[in-house]
Amino acid sequence: MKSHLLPKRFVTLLWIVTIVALGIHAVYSLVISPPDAIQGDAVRLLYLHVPAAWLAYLSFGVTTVCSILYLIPRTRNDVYDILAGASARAGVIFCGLTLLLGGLWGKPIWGVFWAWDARITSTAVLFFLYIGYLALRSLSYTAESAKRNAWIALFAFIDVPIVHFSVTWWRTLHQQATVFNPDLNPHIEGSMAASLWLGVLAFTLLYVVMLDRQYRRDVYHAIRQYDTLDDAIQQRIHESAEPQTGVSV
Amino acid sequence: MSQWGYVAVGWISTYVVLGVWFFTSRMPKNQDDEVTDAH
Repeated sequence: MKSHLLPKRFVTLLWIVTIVALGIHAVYSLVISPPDAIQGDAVRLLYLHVPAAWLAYLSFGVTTVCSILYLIPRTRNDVYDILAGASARAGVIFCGLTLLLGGLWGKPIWGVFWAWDARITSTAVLFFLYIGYLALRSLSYTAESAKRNAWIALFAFIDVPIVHFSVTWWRTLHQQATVFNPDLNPHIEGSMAASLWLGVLAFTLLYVVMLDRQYRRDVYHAIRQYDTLDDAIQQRIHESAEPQTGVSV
Repeated sequence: MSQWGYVAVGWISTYVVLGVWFFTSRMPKNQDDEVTDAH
């Protein structure tokens, strides 16, 4: 099994670029960009909230693709199973941040941290679905459980389009899609647009380094569990081969 | 709380969450790459 997703030197370089991108994003979002005409300074939370939501979609999408590749016998490979788990872990972090930052933005703008509207509730369901998926993954590393986990990942992904289209299917407190909405065709200008797109870029880079780091760790744990099982089998074989003493019929 | 208060809580908690992830996703000590490369 490949122990590294990406070459080590490339990962070091990627970490440096990611940290620089996160730093520039913070400066743009908190210092350079002006307060919004309507939302005021609360808009600075959206420069984290929106990229986190998009990256949660991406992470769960990668988990789904890897799970499909694992379920197809011709493409089945343990790498896909481990990548699916690593990406879901990143997705849960981004999804949790989306909920947290959305609540913190909602309080000064809507007057409430939480509302049981379709977008927010389906996002919370998504978060808990993948928490459950990760909990199931941690139970065992057998080929059977990997197949079961892949099916569960496919099931969990059903909620992603529900989250995305919830704002058009139902009347929600959460606003409809804004950035890529052709009906609105919003013009986000200058440093405000830069803050948003820098956030997307920095979080995408962060996702790649998270995936690599988590993949390495998960490979290590999978091998350790396999070795422990292998040792136990060898010990059992050794015990059964030893002559039995003190037993008489 | 002022709007800047919510902004501060949001940004600080984001980096706290990412920091916690970073430290909990470390490889165990003394388990260098040879362990996995051997397989």
